Amino acid sequence: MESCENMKSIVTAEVHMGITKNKKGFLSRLWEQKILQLMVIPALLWMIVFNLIPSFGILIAFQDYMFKEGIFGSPWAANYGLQNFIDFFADPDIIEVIKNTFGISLLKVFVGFPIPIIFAILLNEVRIVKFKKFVQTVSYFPYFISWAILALMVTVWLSPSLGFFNTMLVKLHLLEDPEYLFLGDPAAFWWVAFVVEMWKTTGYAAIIYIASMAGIEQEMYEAADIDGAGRMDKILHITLPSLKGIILIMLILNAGSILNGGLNASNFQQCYLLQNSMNQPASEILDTYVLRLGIKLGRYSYATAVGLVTSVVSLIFLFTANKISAKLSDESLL
Amino acid sequence: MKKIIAMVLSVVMVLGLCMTAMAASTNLLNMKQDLEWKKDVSPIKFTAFMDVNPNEFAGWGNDPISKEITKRTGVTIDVTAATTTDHTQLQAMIASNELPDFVLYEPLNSAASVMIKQGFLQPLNKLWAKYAPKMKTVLPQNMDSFWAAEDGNLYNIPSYFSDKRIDAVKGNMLTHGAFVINRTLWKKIGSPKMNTPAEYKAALLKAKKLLKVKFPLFNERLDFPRDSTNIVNVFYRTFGGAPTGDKNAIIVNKETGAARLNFTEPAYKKAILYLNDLYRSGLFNAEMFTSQKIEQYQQLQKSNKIFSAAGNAFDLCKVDLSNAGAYKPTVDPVIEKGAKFTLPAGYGGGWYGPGISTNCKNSARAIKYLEFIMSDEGAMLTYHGVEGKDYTMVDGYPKNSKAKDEAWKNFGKMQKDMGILNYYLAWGTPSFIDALYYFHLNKGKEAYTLEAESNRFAVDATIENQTVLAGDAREKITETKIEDLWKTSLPKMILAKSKKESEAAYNTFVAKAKKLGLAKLEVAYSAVGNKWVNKLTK
Repeated sequence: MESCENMKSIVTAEVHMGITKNKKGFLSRLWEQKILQLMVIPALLWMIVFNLIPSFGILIAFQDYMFKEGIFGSPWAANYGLQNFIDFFADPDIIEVIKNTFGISLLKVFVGFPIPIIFAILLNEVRIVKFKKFVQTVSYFPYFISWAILALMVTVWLSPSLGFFNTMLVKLHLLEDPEYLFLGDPAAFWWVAFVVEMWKTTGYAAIIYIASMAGIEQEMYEAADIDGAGRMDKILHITLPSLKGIILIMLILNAGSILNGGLNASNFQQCYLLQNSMNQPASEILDTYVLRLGIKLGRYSYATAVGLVTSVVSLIFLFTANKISAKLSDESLL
Repeated sequence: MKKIIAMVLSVVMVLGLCMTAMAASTNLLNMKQDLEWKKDVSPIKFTAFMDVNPNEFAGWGNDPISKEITKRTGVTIDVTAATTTDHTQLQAMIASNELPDFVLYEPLNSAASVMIKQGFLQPLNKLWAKYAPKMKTVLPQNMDSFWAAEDGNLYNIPSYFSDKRIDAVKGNMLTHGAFVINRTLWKKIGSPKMNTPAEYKAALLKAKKLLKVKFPLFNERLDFPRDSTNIVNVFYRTFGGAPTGDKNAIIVNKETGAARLNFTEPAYKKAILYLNDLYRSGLFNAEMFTSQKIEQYQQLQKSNKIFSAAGNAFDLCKVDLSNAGAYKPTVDPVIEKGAKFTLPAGYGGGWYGPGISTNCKNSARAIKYLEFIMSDEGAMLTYHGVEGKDYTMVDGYPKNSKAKDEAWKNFGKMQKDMGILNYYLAWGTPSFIDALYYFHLNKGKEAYTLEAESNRFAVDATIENQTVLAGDAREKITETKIEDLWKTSLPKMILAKSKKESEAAYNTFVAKAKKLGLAKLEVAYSAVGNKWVNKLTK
């Protein structure tokens, strides 16, 4: 009995101490981390000034915005402020535009997603260090070429009269017509956008996986060697599981930017620069649509409304990807 | 005694002749123009944005003319030009209220009505009434009434190229929107006749064979189906199509203002089928549809001598720079038998010109600077250069110096090195310059007097060019959609594998355009046309 009473008082005292500890804990922990908190403050301020405050401008989507009147003076759009959204969803062209946006983005985000991972793994298996370094360096050079220049290069390369690509494919018996216009065929555009994106970003995107692989304990590989595991076994049972965390995080982040073509957000630049009258049925995406029918015509309310719809869809994708990731594994971003 | 009288008379005669000569030359530069800009020439810097992508504009400040302008007026200008043709930069400036002191824009462009209605520009007529009351004497007398906005004020001084009287005197076929050939190559293949579409095709086939060129025909405006220099529109006129605006492909009834787009005309369909025939005969390069920049065209044409082009010889010279002098209009116009050839409604009443924004830090000096530019002195300086150095006056007309004549062969270099015509289209075409040109062409037919000149020339325009929707018109959306459909349908029509397929593509295009609201759009155009009928016939 006495021991129970003692236990009770000890527990009560400990609980009391715990509560006190927690109450004090946060402030004292904050004080202990004061240097770290100071480092975060500029970023926080930046986010408040450039992300949070400007989001007030979302109101424009619900107005008939007039430049001189500003946000506070502009009248509300018809239909309880929803006219711009109604106009957007009522546009018959929107189906094709959304189809193109999702088509190109899904190709890049899901079909293209494993490519840098595979590249990183293959590179990791190369034993000749000099060659490995050379390949790695060369592989991320294209990333630093701007899209404007790259678009010009691609137009020339794929030109039947100026480029080498058609001749090469004909010689490899992969193409019959040497005059085939890759950039003139709507059916080819998504694949052109995908391949060019992969060529440009694979090397750079692989860096994060290469860095992660550098952190894998070598003892695990040695133990696998002792157990008689082959290369493939080591990749499947050590490398990939170790990369699981980073892969899922990258997948979530890419899913959140899916409507822009993934983290690289290259959809607009590619489609705007490579678009022409022949491939427009396949290259018109939400961003180019907004530019053409929103910004160029001075319809900023309409453009903002479309932008808002895009953001909401991206957010849905982000949360969905996060939830799936949390369910399948313990990894989640949010 | 007799000798003395003879000597005195001779001296008097010589003096008299000298004075007459001086009077003749100074009449053209009206020193009597007592303008406000002269009263304040203290240094001032302005900013300006040109909402046009002028390949020819060489910047401001490094050439002799801009330095001379600064010397005379005290003004320096920091000018930036648009890098695209879709007005997005101007739109962004409007949205962020960052318009510079001067904005050079086309009065009929989509941003114009937004700037005016939402109070981003200052009324020029009110500014000159306050700060430069004599400015109206240097402008075409009807400038303010012709280009007045809905509120009755003038916000822009658009340039105007020419006058129908000048065009009538010229009499030659314009190169703008017509066929151009390389005369050297044409002679090389035996100077074949090219009076009809069939003869033109035969000449192209001959050029392809004898000159061993893959594609003897060139056109770069394929992404602009409404432009009069677009190859389809050039052939449209070949098949007797009615005149359209320079950049809008609109046919307007001059009596009623009723307007319609030209692609529903039989002549347009004939042009499409003809081009399809040229394509199937291996004369038309499909790759032109996928090329967008001048550098790409240059690459495409590097090993492929251009025999003929549809459009503008001046643009063509930029592509094939080594042969700039060789391209001339065709010997005779190419016209279908029985058709009446028309030129595009070429002379326009409104290309881009300056407006003064409400952000301008010194509106008084700004309007006075415009007064200078539009005055005789400013006009001669920007159009002809410095008297005595770049030209001399001979019989009342500027005669170029040898250096200037040589420089004319490379227009861009002339603008950059000499500064002449570097502001061409930027600051308006003053009435004085038109008068000078008109009287130069009519030498001997009319006596030139400066006082009469400013009343002779008034702003005028062709109704086709004026029939343009306001930027904030609801129908602009329909117009954009139909333009897009037109743009994407052109390759389907021209690059079809057979005549039947081409015809089917054309019919599909017209049907889709009607479904998008072509009729409503044409009603909107007609309303604009009707407004201009009244204005132009006054």
